[in-house]
Amino acid sequence: MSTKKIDLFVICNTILMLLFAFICIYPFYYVIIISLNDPLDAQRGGIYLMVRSFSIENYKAIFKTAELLNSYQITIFRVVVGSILHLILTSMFAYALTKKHFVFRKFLNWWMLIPMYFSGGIIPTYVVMDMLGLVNNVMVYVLPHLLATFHILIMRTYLSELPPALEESAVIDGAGDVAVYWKIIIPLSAPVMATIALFIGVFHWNDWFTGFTYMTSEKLWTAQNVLLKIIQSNEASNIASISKMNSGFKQTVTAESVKMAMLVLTTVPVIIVYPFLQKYFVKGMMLGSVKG
Amino acid sequence: MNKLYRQRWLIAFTLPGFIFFLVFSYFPMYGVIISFQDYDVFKGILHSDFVGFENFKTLFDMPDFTNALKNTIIISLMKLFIIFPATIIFALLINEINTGWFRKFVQTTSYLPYFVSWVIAAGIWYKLLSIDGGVVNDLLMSLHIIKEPFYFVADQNAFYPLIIFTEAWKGMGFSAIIFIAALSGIDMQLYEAARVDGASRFRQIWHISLPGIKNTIVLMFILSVSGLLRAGQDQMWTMSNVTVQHKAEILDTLVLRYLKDMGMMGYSIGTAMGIFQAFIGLVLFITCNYIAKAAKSDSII
Repeated sequence: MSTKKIDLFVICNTILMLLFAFICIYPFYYVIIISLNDPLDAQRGGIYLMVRSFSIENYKAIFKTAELLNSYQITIFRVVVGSILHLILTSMFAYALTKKHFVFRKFLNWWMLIPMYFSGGIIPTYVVMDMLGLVNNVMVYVLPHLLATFHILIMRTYLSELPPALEESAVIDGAGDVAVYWKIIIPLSAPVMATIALFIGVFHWNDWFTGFTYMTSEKLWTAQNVLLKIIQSNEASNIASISKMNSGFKQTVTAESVKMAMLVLTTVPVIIVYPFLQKYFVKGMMLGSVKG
Repeated sequence: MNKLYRQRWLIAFTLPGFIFFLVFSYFPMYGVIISFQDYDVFKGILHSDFVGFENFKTLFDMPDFTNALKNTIIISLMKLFIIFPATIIFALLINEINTGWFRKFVQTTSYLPYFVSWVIAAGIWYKLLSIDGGVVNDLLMSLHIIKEPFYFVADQNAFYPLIIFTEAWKGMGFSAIIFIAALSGIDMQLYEAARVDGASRFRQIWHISLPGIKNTIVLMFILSVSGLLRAGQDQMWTMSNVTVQHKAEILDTLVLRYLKDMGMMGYSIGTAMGIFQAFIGLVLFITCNYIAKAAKSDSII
């Protein structure tokens, strides 16, 4: 009697969990198969599990549209430049904060912690950006995201847990702060660098708010911004008609199918780094919750 | 002086960071004084006329603002009272899976949606729920639950359920991590003893699992309450459309709309909204932290 009851629970739970996993994965899968199907064929509907008529027309249309390509270039620019500078500055700042004898240590700890709890808000920040000439300036994607208190905290914790003997022996050999930083700290902090690189990289890839708020010129938008506009309007039909002109007035793609291809292109990089992401994010979240 | 010279490199390492926070965090904090001014962009922050609390008084006479405030509270409360318990139940159910690989599979897939932006999430769900050829409508029609396609994303009554659902879809797996970690810390011997005594699964969950993660639940709940005035800017901005805007407008999106649509005219009043929100948020945060500390010390006794 009791074994039967437990079995029933296991069965129900397994079904429920399978359903949950399905709801998490299927939407992505669905978008992928629609984007890879022939656009005109997809219009007939009924594609749920398999590609019915394979075609890469949608992706071709994207790569032929200058505005879209441009937005991906800007996204890649901010992911690469923004993340690299962020990593360098974070590790320099955190390294100095681990030095107990550093005169400004206490002051700088407070200096970075206060912005975690207080902020000026959207509009005062906009006014400051405007005064700095960052509105409609591509550097607005990089400069305001050069540092983040949370990342400094993670880096500082990691560096302060390194065995001090490594550094001491270098100092005895006559190495200064810079030499120690370059030759000892940087190579040793590879794992935490990878974690923060993922955090900031995904942020840069996913962020739509910066472009939306500070760029009035659509030429300076990232892929997320263009995608948002396409989703909220019928912009995709313009792309469809542009590519119709390109291909000698024969309709090859539809607004819907181009939208799907763009969704896929904007999701794929995240899915590629996903195995690393889930490993490091979970660690980072634990670290944050323990410290906080 | 000599000391400063000896530490010149450490100073050089932190100088960019010092300037960064000064410019991008402390300057805007100073900028909040425009909410006490009749801000004029030509006069600037330093020379605009002060009007005291005039802007804050105006706020409460604005239907836009009171509506956004109402929506913010409704949406946050719904998220708190539906998604929070759902997350705990999800963590408990995952914890009950005995097959190692299946458990890992479910957990890994559950936080996939967390890593894509709300722009992507909105795009995907708009497609799935669309009236011409959306999977959800096709499925419901083939099951004869509905006769004709239902326009999920443009229906005022369906909007809040949609918001709750997509929020759960995107965030539940990730938020469950902390509870799953807490559950894995419970002594297995307790379960064994309970089984020997003939306790059913549900009794084990009720008497061992839940009490075992009580502290985590209390702590996470208090933290969620402190975020009550943040109903999810990204989600509301990306998922809403003209038909549901009246229900979707929250404080964050209203401030953004003031900035984008009204330009300089909206600076002072928009900042006042932001400050109102931040102030309430701070009060909630301090109160909740205080309660959390009290609850913590309570549990130790």
